[in-house]
Amino acid sequence: MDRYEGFREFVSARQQVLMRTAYLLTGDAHLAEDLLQIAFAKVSRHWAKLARDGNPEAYTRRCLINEFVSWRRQRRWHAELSSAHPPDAGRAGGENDALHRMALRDALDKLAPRQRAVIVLRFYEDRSVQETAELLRCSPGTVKSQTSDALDRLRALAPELAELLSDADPVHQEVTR
Amino acid sequence: MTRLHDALDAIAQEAPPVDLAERAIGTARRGRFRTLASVAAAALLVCGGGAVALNRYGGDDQRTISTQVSDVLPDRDVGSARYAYLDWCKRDWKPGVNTSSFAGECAQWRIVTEEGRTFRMPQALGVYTEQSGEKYMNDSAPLVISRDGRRIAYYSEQDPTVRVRDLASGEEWPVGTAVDRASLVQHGGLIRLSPDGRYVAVAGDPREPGLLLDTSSGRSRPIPTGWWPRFISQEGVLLMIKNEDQISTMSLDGERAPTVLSKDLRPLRGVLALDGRTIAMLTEGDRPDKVSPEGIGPVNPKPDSVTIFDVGTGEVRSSVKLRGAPKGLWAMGPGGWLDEDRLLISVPSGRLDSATPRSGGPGAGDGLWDMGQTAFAVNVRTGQVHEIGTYPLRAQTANVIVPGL
Repeated sequence: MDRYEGFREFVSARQQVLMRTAYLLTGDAHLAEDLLQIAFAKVSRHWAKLARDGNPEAYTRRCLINEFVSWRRQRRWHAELSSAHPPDAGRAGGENDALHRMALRDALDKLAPRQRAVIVLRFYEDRSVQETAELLRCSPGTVKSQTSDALDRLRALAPELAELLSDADPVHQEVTR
Repeated sequence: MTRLHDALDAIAQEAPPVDLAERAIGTARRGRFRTLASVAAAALLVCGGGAVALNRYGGDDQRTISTQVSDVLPDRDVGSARYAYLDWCKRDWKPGVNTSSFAGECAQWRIVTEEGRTFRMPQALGVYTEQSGEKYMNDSAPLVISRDGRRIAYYSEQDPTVRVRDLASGEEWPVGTAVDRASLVQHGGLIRLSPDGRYVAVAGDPREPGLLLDTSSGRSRPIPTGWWPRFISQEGVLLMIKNEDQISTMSLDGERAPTVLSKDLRPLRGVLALDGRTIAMLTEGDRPDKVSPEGIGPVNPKPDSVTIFDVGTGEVRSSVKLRGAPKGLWAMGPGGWLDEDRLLISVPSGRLDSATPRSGGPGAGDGLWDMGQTAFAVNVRTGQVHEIGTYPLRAQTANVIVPGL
């Protein structure tokens, strides 16, 4: 039996979803592809076992997050080149959305890796505190504090995002789940 | 769902489509996890000279390079070169003692193609069979492969000069400057090719000017005496160094960039790549220079950063620490751009301390050494170092030539 039976199908089926997460984590298509490829490489090493009695996607996602967090050094050069542009008041809705995305993207670039990972897992992937804690291999309490810190940092970095972030309160999120 | 979710989702939707399945399964089958990080980005890389797939770097699925080669390089219709090597038939080479015994096939360059075929090149001078013990570091005539693998440049003793050869068509271009064998054996020789092999630069005797040639037009220009060619861009701009601490560029039109003294940057031996306006080099950011008694540069370069600086002013534009680099990474410097973000470097495998078993000394009872090379891509924006291929070669003396270096 081929020890990689089903691996190609798994990659084909899930790569784009995981690529979006990788892109949010890194903010860079090239880095995201690197990150995802590294994660798939790790999965391939344990594919036989994962395919038999594991959860390949969860394992891939954990590899993705861990690898990203381990990339301690942020893209200093890139970060120095980017800057936030506060939107003008009274712009049309669509234009405001685009400006918010730009501001959010710039602010995400300035978060610590674990803070960024928490934001992506909690508010993009809509994962619970418990799920996020398992992926990051930390306690739920740490996830809550990281989430709170990350949101505070985003508000400080981009005040124009205050409204966007207003309904992302971590406590509120957990209660309503 | 929150508005934050919607905004994040809008950003996520900008992620480009990827197709990693074949690469992932290919790497998995080879069991070469360590190379995968770079194979990852593979696809096709665009940087001037056309597309370059990262997975063209490395030997043939980790098989140790063989010395058994009977076929001579055909006159034409040869596929792109994957690498080239000299291994002295795995025998012990003792300059001034037994060098003459290597005459013949053991002294000839071997070319390995993308298809996995290996050819000897009798027309290219390889091992210096007359070399003395005093010049033991200068062991063979140069041979280089363009980054796209389609052209090689070698020294033809018959002419005598350097020739550029297109492997597919068999067409050749002599560089024009006559260089006798004795001069090469005495002073050594240096050849550089642009990524597609259109431009070639040669240098040898430091008292004589080198030459930059455009094989398409036949135009050429002397390289000022004392300057050594380091890298040629796709557009034919030559990056050159002098005395290990001066950097400048030159074009076929004679345009020269101001000479930059690189003392503040503490560069390792040389400069290493350029995109016309900036130069990238590996540097030892926090370590004082250890200059050899001859003043020719760091004795034991151990890069910890990759630095970009302006070719006109020498000002640092960015510097980022290397990460993901194996312990023992040692390099004379990156040799070229793989794409707009990544440099290519190659390191003697025996110097690396990595998870992959590599013996730096005699092992397996064969009395041979790990003389292979390991190629890395270095991202100049992130500092991330990725292994992109290995060239396993056990021998007592060897040279491995990687495309683009």
